[in-house]
Parts: sequence; structure tokens; C-alpha cells
Amino acid sequence: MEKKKTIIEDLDRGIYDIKNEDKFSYKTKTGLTREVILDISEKKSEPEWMTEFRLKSLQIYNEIELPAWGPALDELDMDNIVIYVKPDTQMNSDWSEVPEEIKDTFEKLGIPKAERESLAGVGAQYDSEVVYHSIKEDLVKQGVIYTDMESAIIEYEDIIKEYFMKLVPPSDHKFVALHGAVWSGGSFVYVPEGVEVDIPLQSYFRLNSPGAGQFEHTLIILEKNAKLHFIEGCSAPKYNVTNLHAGCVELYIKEGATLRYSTIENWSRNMLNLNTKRAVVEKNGTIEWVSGSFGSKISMLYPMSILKGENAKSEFTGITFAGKDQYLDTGTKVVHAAPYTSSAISTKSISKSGGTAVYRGSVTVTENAHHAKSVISCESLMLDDLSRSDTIPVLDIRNNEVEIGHEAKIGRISDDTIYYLMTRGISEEEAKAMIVRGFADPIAKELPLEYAVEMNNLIKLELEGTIG
Amino acid sequence: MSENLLNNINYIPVRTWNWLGVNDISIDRDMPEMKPYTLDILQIGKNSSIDIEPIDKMNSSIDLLNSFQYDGISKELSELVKDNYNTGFYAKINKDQRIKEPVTIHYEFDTDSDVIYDNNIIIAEEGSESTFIIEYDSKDKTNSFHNGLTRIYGKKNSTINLIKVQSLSDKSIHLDGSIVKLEENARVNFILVELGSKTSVTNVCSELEGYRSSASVHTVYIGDKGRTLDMNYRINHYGKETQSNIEVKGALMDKSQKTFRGTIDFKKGASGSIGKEEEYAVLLSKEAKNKSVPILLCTEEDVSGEHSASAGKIDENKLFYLMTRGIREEEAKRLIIEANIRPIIDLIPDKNIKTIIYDEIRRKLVYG
Repeated sequence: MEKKKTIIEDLDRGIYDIKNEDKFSYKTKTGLTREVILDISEKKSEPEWMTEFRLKSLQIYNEIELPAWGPALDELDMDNIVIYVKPDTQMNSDWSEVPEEIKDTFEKLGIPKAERESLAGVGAQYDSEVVYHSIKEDLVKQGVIYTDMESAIIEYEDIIKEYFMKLVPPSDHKFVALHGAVWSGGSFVYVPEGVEVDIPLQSYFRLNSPGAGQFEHTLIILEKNAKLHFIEGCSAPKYNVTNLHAGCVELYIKEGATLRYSTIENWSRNMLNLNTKRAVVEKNGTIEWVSGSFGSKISMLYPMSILKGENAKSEFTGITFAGKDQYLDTGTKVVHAAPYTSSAISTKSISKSGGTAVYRGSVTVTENAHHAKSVISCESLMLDDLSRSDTIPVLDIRNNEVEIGHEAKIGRISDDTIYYLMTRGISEEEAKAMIVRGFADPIAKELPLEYAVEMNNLIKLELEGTIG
Repeated sequence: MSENLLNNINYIPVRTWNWLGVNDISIDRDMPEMKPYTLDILQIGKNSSIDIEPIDKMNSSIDLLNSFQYDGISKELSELVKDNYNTGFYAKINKDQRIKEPVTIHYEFDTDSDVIYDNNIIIAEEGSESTFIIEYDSKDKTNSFHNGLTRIYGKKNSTINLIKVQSLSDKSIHLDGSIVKLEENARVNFILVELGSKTSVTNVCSELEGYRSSASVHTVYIGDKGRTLDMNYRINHYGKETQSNIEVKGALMDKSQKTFRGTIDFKKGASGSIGKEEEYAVLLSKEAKNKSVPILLCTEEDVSGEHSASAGKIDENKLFYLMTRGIREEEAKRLIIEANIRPIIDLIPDKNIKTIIYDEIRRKLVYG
């Protein structure tokens, strides 16, 4: 059995663990200083306001304390993180122009294939910069913009200036301040009024450089009655040094618009994933979050929905799978700030082999948000007694015309169910895997197909390593 | 005495976002000057069936209590009670002694006796069974200050029922902690009734150490005027097949606010344990504020934990139905709320106290 475990560990992360040689055209020194920031800004030939914004954020970063809750972040030492690694290529709009090695990595991750088969546009970031971006012609004709943030800041400076880090200001918490100071890469999406993008756009973030940080910024603006499905994927090979991901996602959903934002995060287990995502939803608008957290050593990730307009809606569907040495502190925050707003939260978590999965959430209903409705359901599955599973939800209700319900459950796979399946000739391993897949199924259904398949494989591989 | 003793008290075992303001509570009030309390809390003669006496240096320092590690509302406030109490009782229920009649302890505040630091100890010997009712009330509209600590040790197969009814005047501060430790198959059942005070901060911590030990907490509250209710319950499952059940029900009116924090913590080794937590708040006013933090912590695989919390306004269909039967609105609301909390109140084995509670609820809901 031991032997099998070893094989699984190897197989487990397969394609994700392919390390490319650390090639780059430019890399800052480790550490976080004014000079490093000026250096990045200069390399990017940014407008002056952005340079100032970065420096202001750095100042805030130095003033804010680490959070007094959640996982310990002792191992984070900014002096040892490389803030900016520029890959040895320009931004391309044709895969054939992307350097072979980088292209090969994305091929193995299935990105170009997915682009051909099921996506309307793709962005691919390698370390600190986006190396590939494309969007279907017909969408461009309809006025849809999908480009990397660096290009956007030059081509659409007015829009970026109006929206950039207005929803998630650098003063929010330490890692957003960090992001404001050192952000690099990411995608900008703009969907004009009434345009419905039927097939998803996908941005993929790959961090290859050991000891580096990735700080991409994603800004999406959906005008009135627009519609979009955006998919975000993240991965990195495992190194023995700490890597850091502190991205920021800002989503502006205007009247009647609908955005589905799906993420599958499979960072390697030396990664600190301290990511911030927030959506503001106006009248009759909808945000749907689908979030799968599988990788990283430590994650702190709580996508937030601010339901600002009447009848705005938020749905959050999330799964977290914490294995050996992982501390995944995830959840969601919802603020009902207008009448007739509604939110639904459904999360599942699985802990095994000493992993820690925490659901942390909050639902706030403000004084004027009468007729707000919220349904929250959290389920946790413990696969052994080495692991940990915590649920820390908060409800804050400030008016009485509301309907709020919260439910949480924690438990294990029942012996009866396994026994029943075994009497039907199914092996114990397979029975356990079936039950876990069944547990995760409602979430898997919400994922894009290839990710659902990937998730099932992950579950299967993870379980094979434990049983017996 | 420094006023910051009332800052950041009644904290949860795991913190969350500061901006939500649920990690702890701070009370804007100076600590009072300590003074003696001389009223008869035990009403000697009434409680003759049991070995109970006023607290003193001897009985408050028994070895059994040294094993109590937990903070109560805060370490400092609990220490203050242990060192500077001005009243309290020590009760011991002998082996296999089963006391049918509830033992009643009455803490009354008035203008002269407006500060109470009560240090209460209950030791339940093996196989014993007992029921205690502790009342905290105000004789007049005195601006009183209560800081109390009740420590309970339940030996093998013992059962302790503890009922606390708080109906202090609207200006009072009520700080009340209970710490429980249970051996094999021992049980503790709390019924907590929160009807009064300006600020009520309560803490219950039960340590289920023995195999099959169990704890339940049933709470009823009414928030009216500008009352702040702050509850923080924690049940730690250590022993195998231990059970816990927390049930909190209440209504919020006017500008009252309530924060409920409940933590069920399954420690490693507590296999076969079951924990349940349920909360329901009826919101009767637009200006009332209601916060809930139902926490489940788990490091053991073979357990089952559940919590649910819900909040909303009074069921309009029920209200309408009752009103079509000629019952006026305020009265109909009272009936609905009373029906909701009656299962908890009816667990109290003292008719007089039940009547007092129902009268008080009626007074608050109907006559405001």
C-alpha cells in the first residue's frame, strides 16, 4: 500500500507539476521596496497616476497589520518573494508565436484545445505577464473587449482609471494593499449593453518561477443587460520555496446583467493563496460564483457580493478539498444593501490526511434591505481523524422584513452506506470514492465540463492514496 | 479599577473578520466600587434538603475546581469573582442523593445592594440528581452591576439541572459565566431566561470529558427598548459518545440587539459524539439588530454536528388567522411568540417562576 501511496503522490499533480526552466527576460530582486515598485512601473511604461497608486498602496501595506484571524502566515517573508518575473516573450495573439516551452505547458493544461472547442476567448498568463490573449471576431464586432490589463491601461485608460481598485480599495486589507503596489498581468473584460456572450471566456494563470509572487488583476464590467461566463484557472508546479499569489478580481455588474465567474484553483502546495474577489451587483443583476479550491498550502479566499440594487441576486457554489499539510480557509461574504435582494450559498468541504478545511462566511442585511432573502447551506465531510474541519459563519441582520436561514452539517461517510455498496460487489475504495463524488456532485454540475472531469479525477486520486 | 476590564470580553474561541463586530463585546461603563452584599440569597429553611451554605474561603478553594481552565466571560472578570466575591453559595449533592424539589437561590438588587459578585459552586457527587434555580432581579429601578460565576462539577452518573432567570432593571449590567465539567455519564441541563438589564453578557462553557456525558442549553430571551444581549456558549466534546444540544429562541423589539455565538467543538478522540445547535430569532422591530455566529469545530472523523440559524419577522399567516378570530394584534403576537418559547419555559419545574416569566413576557410584548 505504501508503494501505491507514493505512486499517487507522483500521479496526483501530473501535468500541473511540470517545471519549466526559470527563463525570464527580467526579474526584480527579492523583497518589497519603493525601488522595486518604481522599477516594475517603469518597465510597464505606465501612466503616472498608476505609479502613484502603487506607491500609495505600498505605504498602506506597510501600515496595515496581518489579519488577527485565520491561518498563521508566519512563513510569508516578503523579503524572499520575487515580485515581478517578466517571461521571455511579448504578449501574443497567436499560439505559434508563444515560446515553445510556455506553449507546451499550456497545451498540457489543455488551454489551446479548450479554446478551439469551447471558448470564445482565452488569456494566458505566465508568471507576471500575460503571454497570450485572443477573442473571437464576432465578439469584437459587438464591442466586447477582452485583453490583458497592461494593454487595457494604455488603450482604455479612462475606463481603467474610473474602476481600478475602486471596489476593492488598497485599504481593505494587507494583501490587497500589496496587490495595489505590485499588481501585474490579469485580464480586462468589457461587455457592452445588451450583449450576451454565449460561450465562456477563460483566463489561465500559471506561475512557473520558484519563489515568485503572482499578482494579476482581473477587472470585468458588464453593462446593462449584458451576460458573460468567465472562467479562471490557476496552477503552478511545486517548489521547496514559498510562492505567493495575491490576485484581485473586481466585477461590476450593472442593471439586469448576469455574470457567472467560475474558478478552479489548483496551486501547488508551496503556494500561499491570499486572493481577493468582489462583485457589486446593481438592480436586477446577478452574480454566480462557482469556486473550487484544491491546491495551495494556505488559502484565504472569500469572494464577496455586494447587492447594491433592488432585486440583485448572488449565488455562491463552492467546494474545498483539503489534503495533507493544506490549510484552506475559504467561504463567501454577502452584503444585502438594497430591498428585495437575494442570496444563496452552498458549500461543501472535504478534509483528509491532516488537511484543514474552514468555511468562513458572512451575510449582512442592512437597515434598508427589506424583503432580503438568504439561504445558506454548508456541509463538511471528514475522511479521517487526522484532519480538521471548521465552520465559522456570521449572520448580521439589521431589519425585520427578511427571511434568512442557515444550515450546516459536519460528519463522515456512514459505515452503513459503504457496507451496502460493498454487498453489491463494489470495493471499499470505490464505494468511498463514489460517496465522495456524490457529495461533491452538486458542485461538479456547476463547473465547466473539463473542470468537473478534472475534479472527479482529483477526488479519485486523492482517495486512492488514503484507503487501505 | 480600570474600565478596560469590560473591553473585548465574551470572545469566541476562533476569531473572524473584525468589521462584523462579533469577535467579542466591549461595554461602555466603569467598573463599580465594590461593597458588601448582605441579603439572604439562600432563604434558609426553604432549601433544607441539601447541603448548601454561603460561599467562604474554605469551600471556594476545593481542589476539584483547580482543573477548571476556562475563562468564562473573560479571565480577568472571572478572577475578580474568585478573589473579590461579595456573595455566592457552595452546594454539594451527596452520592446517590436525588432531590426532587428545586433549590432556589435569589439574588436581588436594590439601591443599597446594587453590586453583586456572586461566586457559586455546585458539586454533584456520583449518581446524584438536583435542580437549581438562580434568580437575578431588581427590586427597584436601580442601576445595578452583576458579575457572576457559577462552577459546576458533575461526577459519574450525576444530573444537574440549572435554571437561571435574569430580570434586572433596564439600567443594569448583567455579566454571568457558567463553567461545567462532567465525568462519565454525567449530565447538565441549562435553562436560561433573559428578560432584563441594559446589557446582558452571558457565557456557558461545558467540558464533556467523561464517556457519554452530555450538556444541553436552552435559552429564551426577550429584547426590548435598547437592550443588548450577548451570548457566548461553548461545548467541548472530549469524551466518546458525548452529546450536546444548544437551543436559543427569542424575540427582538424596539432598538434591542442580540449577538449569539455558539461553538460546538469536537476534540480529537470524541468519536461517536453528536452536537446540535439551533437558533431562531423573531424580529418584531425594524430597528432591532440580530447577529448569529453558530460555529462548528471538528478534529474527529466519527461525529455528527449540525447547526441551524434562522431569523425573520412573525408569521403573517398565523397573525392574520388569530386576528380574524377577534384577537388584537399585540395579543396575537404574544400568543405566537409564547407558543414558540413555551417548550423551553415549560421545562422549568417551578410554577411560580413560570408564572413570573409569562407575566413578564406579556408585559413586554403587549404593554411595552
